[in-house]
Amino acid sequence: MKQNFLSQNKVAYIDYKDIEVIKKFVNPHGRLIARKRTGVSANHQRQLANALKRARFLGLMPFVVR
Amino acid sequence: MEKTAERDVKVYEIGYLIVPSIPAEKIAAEISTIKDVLSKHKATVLSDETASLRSLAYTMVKKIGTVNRRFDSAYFGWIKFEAAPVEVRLIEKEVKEVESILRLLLINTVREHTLLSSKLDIETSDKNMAEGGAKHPVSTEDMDKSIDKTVSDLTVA
Repeated sequence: MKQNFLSQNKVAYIDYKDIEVIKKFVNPHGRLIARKRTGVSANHQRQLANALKRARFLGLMPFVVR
Repeated sequence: MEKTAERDVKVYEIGYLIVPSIPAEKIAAEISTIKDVLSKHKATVLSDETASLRSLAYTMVKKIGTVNRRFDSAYFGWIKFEAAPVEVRLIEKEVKEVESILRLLLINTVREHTLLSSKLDIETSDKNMAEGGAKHPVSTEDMDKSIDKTVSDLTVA
């Protein structure tokens, strides 16, 4: 996933409710994939991290997948 | 200076989970309780989504009375509103005190519509499963053409 999906679509804000978007950047264990692999900008990576934490808190995303 | 600070409003969003033991008919009443708290603190509702029952990614525990109750599903909904920053902590405190609220998240957000899945028409795995495969059926001819194109592109590069 080297093309930056978020920049290509000019995403300004990553919502914690957008689980399908967040899932694209999470590995099978439920952890956020490093931007070295996904190619997202630093700003988007921070937004993704925040959104993922919020989604986990509300039970929309798991903390860990075993 | 104080007067201008009072008039300043920011956009916030409340995401909430309501315990599933409440019957579906009474959910509207629970949501109106939350909205009453917002209106009490002079908040303006910008947009919202009615709570719907969904399964949770992990089991949540809420102490009801003296018993720890465990929940694997809950009604999830959200309300985006505009309010003065001084009122927001009070709103959070009061909404948290509502008995049926399993969990509450209050965040700063932006006024614009932020859900990408509806904007970009991102295919969800559930949707695909329900529709029984790809959204746009592809013929074998088209597939062959696209494979040939990719191969030729690769050889040129």
